[in-house]
Amino acid sequence: MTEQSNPQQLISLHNVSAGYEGRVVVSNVSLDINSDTFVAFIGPNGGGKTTILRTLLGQIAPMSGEMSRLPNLKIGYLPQINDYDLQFPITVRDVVLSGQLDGNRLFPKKATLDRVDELLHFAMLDNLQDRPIGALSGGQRQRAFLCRAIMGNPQLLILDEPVTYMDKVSETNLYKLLPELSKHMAIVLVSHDIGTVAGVVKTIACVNRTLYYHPTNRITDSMLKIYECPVELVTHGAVPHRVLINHHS
Amino acid sequence: MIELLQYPFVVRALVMVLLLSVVAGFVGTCIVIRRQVFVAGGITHAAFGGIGIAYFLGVSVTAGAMLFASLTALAIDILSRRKSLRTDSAVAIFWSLGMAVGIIFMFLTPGYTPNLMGFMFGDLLTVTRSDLYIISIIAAVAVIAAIIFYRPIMYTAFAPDFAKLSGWPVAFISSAIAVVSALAIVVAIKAVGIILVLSIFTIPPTIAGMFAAKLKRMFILSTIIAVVGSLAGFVVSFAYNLPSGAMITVALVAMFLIMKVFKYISIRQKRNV
Repeated sequence: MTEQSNPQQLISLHNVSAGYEGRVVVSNVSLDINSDTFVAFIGPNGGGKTTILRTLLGQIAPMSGEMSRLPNLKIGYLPQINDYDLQFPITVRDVVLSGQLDGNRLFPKKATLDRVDELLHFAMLDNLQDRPIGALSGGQRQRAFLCRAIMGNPQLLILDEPVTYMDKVSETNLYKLLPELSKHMAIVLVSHDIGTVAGVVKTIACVNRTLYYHPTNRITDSMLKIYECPVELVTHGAVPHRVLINHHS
Repeated sequence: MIELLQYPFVVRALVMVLLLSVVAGFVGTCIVIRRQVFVAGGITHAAFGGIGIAYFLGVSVTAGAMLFASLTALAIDILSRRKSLRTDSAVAIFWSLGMAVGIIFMFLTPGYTPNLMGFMFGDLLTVTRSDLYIISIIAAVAVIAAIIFYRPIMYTAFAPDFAKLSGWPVAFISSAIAVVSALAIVVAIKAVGIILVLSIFTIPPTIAGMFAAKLKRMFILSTIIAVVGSLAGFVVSFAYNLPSGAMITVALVAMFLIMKVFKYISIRQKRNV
């Protein structure tokens, strides 16, 4: 991993609208994602956060507007916690290795396996690597999936609601890995929890039918209006919290 | 008992049991980890349609069943991947259609009274030399594919969406596994019958899954369990002149219960330490 000097444009959206089966979910989205971007998408359920993510991932095409993407852009993806088969016979180590994108993927070489070791250490999972994935706690499992997402050395890391159902300690353990990663890759983090992510990311974008980009990580009054209540503004642990105005729903 | 090995049909039955166990261990594990046990049931019964048509046309029953089962497997695979139809509904349609087509064509076949019990429950003692050639090829393909494509098989079964994003040919792997499963199922029908095929493909991997943290171990362990269970079932069936397929199923379920109790006790003991 090398630290980046000049930020490079990875994905650019200009007046993009997107949705499913002819139904527009988000419109007028303009956003540049550069190699030094570290942004949180916040907004209410159904506001279109996932739709924008799927557009960025290339899973759906924009319905209108312009989108440009760096050719062969490598994206790492941490999906929302969903219904993994927790009895599946796969070890933590193999879950991480499954994120490999290049090289011999049928029979991984030593350099690849070394990278798995490095990532397991980074995510504090060294001594759990031979456990089946189902034997881990929710927080440990999400860190394993984070390792899987960054295994292929992506230029852009997308995290979709990574801390749902997690306790505060696990949440902190996951979020504290991100600033280090953001030195090496762009990060887009989706969260419904504005209070916690504000202290982690560099910038915030509010998504509610369209996207409002804020070049800071401060929570403003207009943001709360767009976001719609309730907002969790108090956090615990190492993540600093920012309460700039009193807000009651 | 040993002197029975001088009879070729007994030797063929034993070889069939061993090779079928290898196929069941490898293909069955893929079916179980992909949660496609019910799909396998549908393919099994759809194969009966191919058997009926083959009898009517006077062509090879094995070939007819293989063609019909493979096409069904592909159709279910594609329909459920497109999400245009719920998987279990698609399975139910092909399941009943296969049985209906099979029985209609058997009745249409002039002057022939088919041995329906044979198809339903199988008979290891009627295994032919060419059955053994076919199952040897399928066993070899299953084992070699499981070694070479170990990682994509594991990744696409565990997290298909993520595997697709990572550039694995998820649809191709899924279809390939569906077709190999269909071919394996058809050969197994001859040995254990339509009704009991599911037991040999699902019980050994289910038992192995209770103990194996790695897919590799699950492949090997379920093969061993299938060998032990089907040999035990076959020997008992031969000794007491009982239907072999049914006895193998009973032996496998007995192993399942014993292992379940064993696992329960060992977990309790660990907790008490």
